[in-house]
Amino acid sequence: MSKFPRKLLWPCWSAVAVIDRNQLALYLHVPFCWQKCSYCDFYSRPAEPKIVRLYLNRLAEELKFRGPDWQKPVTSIYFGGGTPSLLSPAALDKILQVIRDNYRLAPNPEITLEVNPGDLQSQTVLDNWQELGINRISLGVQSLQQVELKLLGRSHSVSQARRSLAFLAKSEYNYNVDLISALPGQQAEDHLQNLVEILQYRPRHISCYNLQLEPGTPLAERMKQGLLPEISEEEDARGYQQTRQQLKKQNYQHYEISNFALPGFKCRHNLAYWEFRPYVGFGPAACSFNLRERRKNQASLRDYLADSPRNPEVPHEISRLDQQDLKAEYLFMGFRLLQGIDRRDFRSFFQQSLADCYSREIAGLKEEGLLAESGDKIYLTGRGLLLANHVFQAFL
Amino acid sequence: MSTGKIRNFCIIAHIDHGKSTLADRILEITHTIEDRKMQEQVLDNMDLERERGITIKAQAVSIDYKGYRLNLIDTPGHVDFSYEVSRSLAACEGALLVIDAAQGIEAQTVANIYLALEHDLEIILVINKIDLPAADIPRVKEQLLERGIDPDEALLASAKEGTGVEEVLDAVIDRIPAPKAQRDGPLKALVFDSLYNSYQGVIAHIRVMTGSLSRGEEILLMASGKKYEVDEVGIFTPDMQPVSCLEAGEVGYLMAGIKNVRNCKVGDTITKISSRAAEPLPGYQDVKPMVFSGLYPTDNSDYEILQEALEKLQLNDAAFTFENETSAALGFGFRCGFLGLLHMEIVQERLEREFDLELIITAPSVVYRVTTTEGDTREIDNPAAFPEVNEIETITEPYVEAILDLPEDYIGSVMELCEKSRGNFQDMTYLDQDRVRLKYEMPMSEIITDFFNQLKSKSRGYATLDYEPLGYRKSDLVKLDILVNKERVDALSVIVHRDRAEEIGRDLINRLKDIIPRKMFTVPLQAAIGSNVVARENIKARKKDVLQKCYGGDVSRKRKLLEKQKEGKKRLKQVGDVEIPQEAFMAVLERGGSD
Repeated sequence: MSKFPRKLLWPCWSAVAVIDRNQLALYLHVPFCWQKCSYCDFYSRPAEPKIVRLYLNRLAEELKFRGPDWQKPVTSIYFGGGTPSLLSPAALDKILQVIRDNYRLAPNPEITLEVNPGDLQSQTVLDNWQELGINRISLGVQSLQQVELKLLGRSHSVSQARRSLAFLAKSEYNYNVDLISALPGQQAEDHLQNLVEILQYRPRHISCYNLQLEPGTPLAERMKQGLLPEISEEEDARGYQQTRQQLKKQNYQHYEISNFALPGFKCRHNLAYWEFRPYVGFGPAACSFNLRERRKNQASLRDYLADSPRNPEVPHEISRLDQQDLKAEYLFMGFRLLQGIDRRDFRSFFQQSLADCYSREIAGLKEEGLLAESGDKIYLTGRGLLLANHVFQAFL
Repeated sequence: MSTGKIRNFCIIAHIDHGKSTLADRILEITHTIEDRKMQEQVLDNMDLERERGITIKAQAVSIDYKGYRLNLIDTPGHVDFSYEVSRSLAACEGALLVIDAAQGIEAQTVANIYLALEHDLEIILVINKIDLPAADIPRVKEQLLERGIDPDEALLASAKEGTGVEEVLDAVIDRIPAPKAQRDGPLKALVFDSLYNSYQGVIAHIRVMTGSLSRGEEILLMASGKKYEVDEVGIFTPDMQPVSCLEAGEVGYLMAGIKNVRNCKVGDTITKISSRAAEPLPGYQDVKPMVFSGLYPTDNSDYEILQEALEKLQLNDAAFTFENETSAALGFGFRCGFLGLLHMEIVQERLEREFDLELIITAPSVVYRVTTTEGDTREIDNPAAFPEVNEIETITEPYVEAILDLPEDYIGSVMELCEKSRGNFQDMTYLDQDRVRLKYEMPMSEIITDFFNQLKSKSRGYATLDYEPLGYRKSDLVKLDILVNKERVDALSVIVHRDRAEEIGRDLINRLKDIIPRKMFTVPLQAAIGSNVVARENIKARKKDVLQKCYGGDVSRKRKLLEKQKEGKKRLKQVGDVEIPQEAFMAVLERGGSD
């Protein structure tokens, strides 16, 4: 495996009218966490060594069993979670080996590991990951203020976050930093302060997500009970605008609603979702999409492990999308990209022109100043970026 | 059964003092209901009743015990239904008055004693829930003594555990007089409840006062003037069991192909056409709705379904009225009349539950009497229908005497609430060492805002409220209009006292600002009297609305979230460019809520 790729591997998609869907993005869900974050409703469990071992065996079975169905060249591999960085290098190596043995890898695939800052506290750890071929790190910093980390229920501290950032900055690794904004009571300036400090480490990629209150999570419950200050839509909007300006000044390209990258460092894996390309997910709760159907593995680890090794197929649900749902998903994923969607790609995918399907909706949204057009591209305006849900809903 | 072996009685109690549990236990001990069929609180057989723990419709059951026929008549337990209660009591010779051993005497207990005495009923006191750790029997007895009631005859029971229930039954036989009933006179039977179902038509619950009634006889309902031939008479065991004849003193049911409860209202007297009674039984009233509100389908295409549902409901509820109404903001709907707020809530809930309808219900209104400058007087039950300011000479509104019983600690805050609700203080008396009765004359319209809720919160739930109509009085009232995005929303108009119009307008606008969802544009909100704007606010435009991260490519989940958000908007009523949720129409009720 190569070290950090210095060359631009990624073709510039904006020049390509029709998206190449003859490639595959591969996702591995690692459902373990040191502790549960207060805002997270995604499936995870404490990492008991015995359960982790059973999980790894089951994951290998699943990878082998489903391999024959997914023989497009794999251009990205993504370890997400949960907290994949709590897996040992040996475990990660084993998974990657099973993938190499059962899937067709494209040259220089992007291999991302989501990392909890607490798990990256020495150079050795980073060297090990690099050794395994992991060429991209996504670091879940979320905030550089201790009160905010506490509110979010993160297991790491600010000093751990700084330490891990320092290792990454020194290593010239291709890495992303996740930040969460729009916390209860947070002012735009608080978020900006996080951002300014992060920029000193010069990550190749920054994701700025605003906090989503998922019903049933401890944070949402505390909000509901009125124990926390409100989340201000005004501050969220102001913070977002300032983030955009700040990052633009520093040469980051704003390429998706919440994502910014230095030239050549867009996240190849996540682009698969936005560009409506096929992807396959392994592990509990992982999702797959073959351009017609969506598959979702059952979330519970117990169910995931239940039939091993007797039945190599893991429990899952498949839903076949009708054309209407497929179009809606194509559009609301595609519009997340700042370059927008391309009429030619829509036509080639659906065998129908965008105008035939949605001319009224598009005209209305242009009228409202939420969409704009240029050539074959239709994209969200600055206002549309802020009110994207309104745009998305027009196509449901 | 000979008259001497019959006992007709009811159970009356303050809410939650254990009336229904006692009834259940009586049915169980007398084997009236097999254990396996025993459903908690058998007599409250509407789902709604069971959920709310209250009795809405009266029920009756005949119990055979030690050679006697005990007819138990369950009564509704809310001021909205006080007329129905009075008719149920008129069908009895005695009453079990249940008092919670831990709570002691409450406002309703006292009211019930007077009510029972008014009907000449023999009262058997039952101190219930003696199993509770907080039970304080000496205190309850002392309270009784303070009210001049001999506590020595009170029975002790725990209906929950079944203790003392047999003694209660024995007392019913020993102490409640047998009905004084002439069996040979002309028939007079009191209708104390009237129910409708689509299979059997109206089932009248009756108490035969004089004479007798058999199948095949021709009857006349003296108040409605309708004539029928009797298809069936019977008793409740508690299932309906036909008998050949109901005689004076007996309680049972009658079916005669009656298609609408309006033709057989509670309180009506049944007699025979062949030997007609000279005069009806006393006490019949044509119950009139006191509270009116607009009912609109959220989805306009449900209008006809709503109409059918209202018609069906009316078959079974003589007190409920409706007529067509059109609102500029809400479209086609109905003006509905109710006995009170509980009655209104019950109707609304039944419509939503039994007919699966999404409804917008406007804030309730009383009936105002408006005399115009032309000199004619109109009854107006809808603020939207008020004449223009310059056409109004005088307005009168219904007043009630509000009777509030509360621990003395809360006198200050409750009096303040009453003053704020335009109450005129009349009287204050001590019921016992620490309980006080306040009397206020108040506009009925104040009572039907959230007065009751505020009373509960200001007294930590300890105050009770009862009220009696006092007739109409002149008031300086004005119509307060609400404009959303510069359009007057007629369904949000409200009638208020001139002195408080501005304050109420400001408060209302302030709350509507948070209730009406933000739009992509700024929406002005105004409160106005005629053309004079008294308060204004803006609903800020949405600034940011973006669904975030899609973990691991779960796109369908994201689509569902977006669909849900979109669906949420559809359930609101579209008024112009703005969607108004149900809550907004009720916001006018919560006057000055949080102070």
